[in-house]
Amino acid sequence: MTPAQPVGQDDDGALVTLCKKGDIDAFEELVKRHQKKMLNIAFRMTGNYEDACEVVQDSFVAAYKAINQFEQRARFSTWLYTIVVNQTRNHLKKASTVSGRAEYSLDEPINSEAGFIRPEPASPDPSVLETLEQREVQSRVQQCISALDAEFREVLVLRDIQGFSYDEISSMLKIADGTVKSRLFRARESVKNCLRKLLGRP
Amino acid sequence: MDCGKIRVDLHAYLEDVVTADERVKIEGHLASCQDCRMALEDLKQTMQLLKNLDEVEPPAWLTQRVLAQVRAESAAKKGLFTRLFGWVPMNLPATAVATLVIAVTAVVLIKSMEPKLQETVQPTVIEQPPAPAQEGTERQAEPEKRAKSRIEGGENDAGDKALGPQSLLQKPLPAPQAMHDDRPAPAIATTPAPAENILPEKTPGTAMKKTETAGAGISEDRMAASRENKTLSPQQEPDALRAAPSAPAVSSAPKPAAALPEQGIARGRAALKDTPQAEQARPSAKAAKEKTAGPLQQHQQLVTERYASGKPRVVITYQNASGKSEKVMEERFDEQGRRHGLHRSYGSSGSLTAEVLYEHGNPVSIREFNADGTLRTGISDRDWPWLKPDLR
Repeated sequence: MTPAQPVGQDDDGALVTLCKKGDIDAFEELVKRHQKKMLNIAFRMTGNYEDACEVVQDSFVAAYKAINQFEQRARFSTWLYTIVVNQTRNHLKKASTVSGRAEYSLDEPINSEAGFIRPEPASPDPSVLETLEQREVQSRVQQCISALDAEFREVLVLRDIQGFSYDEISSMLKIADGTVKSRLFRARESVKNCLRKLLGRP
Repeated sequence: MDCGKIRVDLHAYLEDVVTADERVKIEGHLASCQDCRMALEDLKQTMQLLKNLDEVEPPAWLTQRVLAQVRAESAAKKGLFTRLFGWVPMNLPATAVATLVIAVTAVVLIKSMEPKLQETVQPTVIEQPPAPAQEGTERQAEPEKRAKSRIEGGENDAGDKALGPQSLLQKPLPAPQAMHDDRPAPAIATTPAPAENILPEKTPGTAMKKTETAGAGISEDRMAASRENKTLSPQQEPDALRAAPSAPAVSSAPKPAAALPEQGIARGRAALKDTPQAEQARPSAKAAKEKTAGPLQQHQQLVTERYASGKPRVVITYQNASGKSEKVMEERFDEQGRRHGLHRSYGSSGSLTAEVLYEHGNPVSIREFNADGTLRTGISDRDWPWLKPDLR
């Protein structure tokens, strides 16, 4: 896994200028630079990989259509991440009005046609078991994140998972700094309590 | 100092954004309060778990899909412009353009008088020997037209002129029109796929999707259209990737098939980019289609099971390799169109190579098999780009 490389505003700035002139190759470069971070934001907010991919796709298309409205005073990446946050919100709203989220519990047996009931380790290799245990923990953490209301989930994902500054979050979500902090406090406390229940931490 | 206030301050304390003064106060309290120490420990662990969550990798098809949609957007914009103004030669001097505009305006004005002219000639037509009644209606229209033009004589000039702007306009027009009308399966359509589409994606309809729909028993002509279209043109090839986003289909196909779409995309792109008008891409795409046509690119997807709502539940992809139909993969979806249940991919000899279990779109586990059908053990060395790293 390559760490997301920090992208300077200047790098993006030149590409954005080209994009505004209709250069699709420049846009392709921007997609490649930012898709991973966008996908991870969307993934942690939706809790679903395919939904996240769809959200990211829609976000890039929306960004392309609106690129002339982007004023280069702000960072392009922040603008882009704002779009993905908004698209995720819309997606979640749509999903909850259409059918309600198809929540599933990890305790329930998996219903599959071929009777492949339980995820099982491919081999008894201890490293694989460790990986599985870690995966289980991660999915519990995600379960706790998904249990949060969207407004709390947003700040938690942006701050504690993605590491944005309070300033950036406040401008992305268009809420005051104090609101970011208070939401974050409540979000962390909820996740903490949830994890204590699910993982049996002290 | 009360615990409630400290619990709030602990967040800032952990993020190291407290003043020295506050720090002393907090640490003083922690030294004497076990509950708050535990709360701090829990919070620390929680934040650590959040920070350590694995990152997911974007699938390879994401960029391609975004760009296909973006190209469609920009082509649609250009298309409108071309349709409105494309016939104006941009390098002509202003006077020439002005003359042309005046001429067209005049012609349009004359055309607007056309109904009146027709009204005046209508009675004359009736005096003509009646068109043979036995002939079919389409044929009947023809003699009538001929008769009309014979009679109209001088007035016909106006009629011809009235046709003028149309023929003038139609010269640059046919191609974009054609792009929309006779392409049975647009590679870059802007409309979302109809609900009946097989795959869960919200992306434009593709040749493959049409094939599936045809397989599921839609009208005859669509079937015919899709039969023609089973061989994917370069422009459609990105769609092929899109329609089969899972690595199994692509990776289990023999190498040439995997390599070709890449070239196809490049060609499609070049065609779009190098020619000023999008419509010119069509003939070149057609030519390329003939070149790349080969049995390995022929995929066919069949819906073998549907939900009551009509959405596909089980989709099986076949590949036609040297005249033989081979199963490539088997996919299952939930009612929201997300991958759900067991997915299987097959190797070139038809042997099962992998099973991936999904739960509402999320991959949960993978089992891979050796050529002899035995379960493969150990960490996978296959490329599963869309999976979380810990599942690979």
